[in-house]
Amino acid sequence: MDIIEIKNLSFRYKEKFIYDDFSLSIKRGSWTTIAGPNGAGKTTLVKILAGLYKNYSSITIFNKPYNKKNLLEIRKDIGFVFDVPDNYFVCETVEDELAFSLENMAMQPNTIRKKIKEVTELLNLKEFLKKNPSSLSGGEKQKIALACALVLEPRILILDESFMMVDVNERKRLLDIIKEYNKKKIVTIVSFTHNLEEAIYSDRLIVLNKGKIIVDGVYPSVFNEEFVMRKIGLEVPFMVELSQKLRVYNILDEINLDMDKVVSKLWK
Amino acid sequence: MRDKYPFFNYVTGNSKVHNMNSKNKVLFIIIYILLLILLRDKYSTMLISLLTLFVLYKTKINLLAYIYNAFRVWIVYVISFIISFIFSLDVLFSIFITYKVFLIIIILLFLTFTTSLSEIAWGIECLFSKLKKINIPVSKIALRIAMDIKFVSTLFLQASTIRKSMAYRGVSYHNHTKALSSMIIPVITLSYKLSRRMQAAMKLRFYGYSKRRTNYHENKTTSFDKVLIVLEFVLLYVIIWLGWYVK
Repeated sequence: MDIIEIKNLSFRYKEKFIYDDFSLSIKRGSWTTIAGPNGAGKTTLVKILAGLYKNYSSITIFNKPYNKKNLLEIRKDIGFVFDVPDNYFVCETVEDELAFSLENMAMQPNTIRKKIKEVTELLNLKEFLKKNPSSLSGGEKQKIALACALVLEPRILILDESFMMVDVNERKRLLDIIKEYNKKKIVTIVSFTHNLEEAIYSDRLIVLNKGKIIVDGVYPSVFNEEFVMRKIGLEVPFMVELSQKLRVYNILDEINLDMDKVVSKLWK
Repeated sequence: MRDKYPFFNYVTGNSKVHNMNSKNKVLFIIIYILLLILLRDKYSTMLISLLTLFVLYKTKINLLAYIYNAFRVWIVYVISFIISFIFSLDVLFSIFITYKVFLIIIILLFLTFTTSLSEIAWGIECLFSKLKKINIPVSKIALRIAMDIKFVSTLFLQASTIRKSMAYRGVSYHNHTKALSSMIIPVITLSYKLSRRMQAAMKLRFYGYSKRRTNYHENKTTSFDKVLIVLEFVLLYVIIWLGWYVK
């Protein structure tokens, strides 16, 4: 069942068309990665989905038209994590930051406390609760932004270049948590990135260029079109490159992103 | 000092003042400002200064942080001195008025250093909750006041960022007036952008979604709260008696 459906979206900035007759549908409970180089239209699409640009009439979410009337009702079930978390913070302590949206939705204090406790435990945030978000490091800020989105218990989670500032280990840990959350709570994840490594976590990879879908496929077979991705300036994961080279020598039959399996095959 | 205690910014802590009920704290500030308005004689001025020192000491925040930040708005004191001198032609009276303005800045720093914005909003909201009965959107007004306070602190942070970026590019000012004039336009532009960003963030985070907001803070009135409020009422009596009845 499609949870997000975009039909014939057109959007232009000044005179330039960013999207022209763009269509896309995303299945419930899936993890879709939308990748593309700078200027592909990723952030524009996130802002349209967030309702910040008023071109959302061609979108249907949860089977409801995403219009002015339904906007807030639909959006309360969508969590956003943006690339620059500072733009998202409005309070002076992490605890207040986590509570802000819930307070605006007039939730009862006990429910707010319960939800804050849950997300604090999930992301291990106890030591940050009384700190000012602006005093934290880039990675910690991203973690808080993710917590602010998860505390709403969204049905859709949209990640816009969310883990750019996070170090490799922390990024892996956060992506693992999101993957688990995705499976456990059947949350639909839409991740916008230019880092194709993140696609490893997703079920489907879409590559955008200049507002058009140029690659759309299921992981890992989608990487058969790695030359298209490389052509538009995306960096293909190391294991994809290695697999392709080994396929030339008939060592591998298909792209394999599991390093241990590739090593054992080479050893044989 | 500037980075550790930014102007009008919350400083994390666990003092008696930090743990005060925010409604009582806002009430304390309102009565304090009322006391300053009524203040007329030197003995009461000494008493209110002592009360100020006492509450500042109880915040466990370095006193120099208050003094340093209070003098960052030196232009306000200069203007208030000049205006009061023009109207009174009395140097001592003008100094007295300027001192009152200084105390207002100090007490606002006291509030913002020890209370997070959402607590300030909640404090104002609780204090004026009766106005909701006549359909005044108290919650939204309270949050707007809190956001305005944050905007003042943001202006100072932006000014600091611009000053640093100018210094990185080799611009240094020995002349304060020249520095101020060249920073006004970038500060206004950046602050405008920031206010737009903040507006978008608040919209995204359901500000205005419901007609009312809730607040999850646990606010218990402590004996410290009661002592402060009682002290203020005693001081109010002394100020009225000494300043308005005793010749």
